[in-house]
Amino acid sequence: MTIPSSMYLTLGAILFCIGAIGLIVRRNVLVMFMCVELMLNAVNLTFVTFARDQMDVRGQTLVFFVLVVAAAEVVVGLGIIVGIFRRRRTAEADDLRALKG
Amino acid sequence: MVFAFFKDVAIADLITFFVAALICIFGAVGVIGCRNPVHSALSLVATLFGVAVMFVSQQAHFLGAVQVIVYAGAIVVLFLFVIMLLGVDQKNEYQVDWETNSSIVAMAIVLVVGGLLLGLVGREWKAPVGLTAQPVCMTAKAYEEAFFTPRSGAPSVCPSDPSLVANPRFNSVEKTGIDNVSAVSRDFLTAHLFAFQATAVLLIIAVIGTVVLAKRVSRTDDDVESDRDEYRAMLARDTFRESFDDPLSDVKP
Repeated sequence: MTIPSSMYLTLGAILFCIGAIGLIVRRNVLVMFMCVELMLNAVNLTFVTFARDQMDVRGQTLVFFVLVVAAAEVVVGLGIIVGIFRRRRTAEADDLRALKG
Repeated sequence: MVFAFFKDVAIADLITFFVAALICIFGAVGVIGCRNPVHSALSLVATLFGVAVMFVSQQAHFLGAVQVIVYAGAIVVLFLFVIMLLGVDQKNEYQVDWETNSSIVAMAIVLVVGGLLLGLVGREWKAPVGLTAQPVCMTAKAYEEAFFTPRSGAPSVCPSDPSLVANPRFNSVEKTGIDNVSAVSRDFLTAHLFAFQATAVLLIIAVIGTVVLAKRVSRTDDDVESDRDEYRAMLARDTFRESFDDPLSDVKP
């Protein structure tokens, strides 16, 4: 027997919650970005686990596309952060409130 | 009771799982716990590596390799570059603003969602009716049937040998002859070819957009000065923080 799927799913849930908590608690935009990556990874782990569970390779295909989109997202997001930092000299989410968010 | 739960599991699998799970969780806690963003990024590498181990241990060899190359090799390096390029200050505290209710509500939402996720874990999952499963790895025969028979022949995409389905290690390369990389690539280069090409377009757009974003606009001193005045006026109108540390105070006009 291999490891039961529920254990992988538990780990995915734990990682997702840690990422979500970090997104709320941290104020640094870069660290918030890392927490988003953490949540994406938790979901990827869940996808792979279900792919094994259901014997369906399409779950892994979907994870591949998630990886590509995450890479594009990081590139654009970090570009925006660099642009903001140049203009505002800050990387704190609380200081970036021109949109009154 | 715990031992009864694991009594069918190979001991090497168990050790691998728990070591990787510990690395994952400690890395994740490190990401949100370290005050220095560089340490956060290095903790993120640990988590990503642990997830890669999880992928490999679930026969997703291709994704395990891609995870290490793309995430640990490219994305985290990009993070580190940006952190060091910006010279992020040490003043960034992690704080929950207990004065406002929104943080408490958000925490409560996270806890409830986490509880729901954990509650769903022990369930028995069945594939939805009407979906044909495509095996993670296939026998050579099922592979032929799935991809090389004419459409009118109603190809079966499940392993034709039922013992492979019954066997939990059905997808090991030794038993099936088709490795995971072939199965995944065959899937996304045939069934999802359009999406594959769309991601190529997406990546090109992302690269061009970032170059445009990061291009240094030539700004005169007057521009900088007017920007600063505008920003200070905006801060003056806002009263939500008394001891606001003016981030533009060190900018020379």
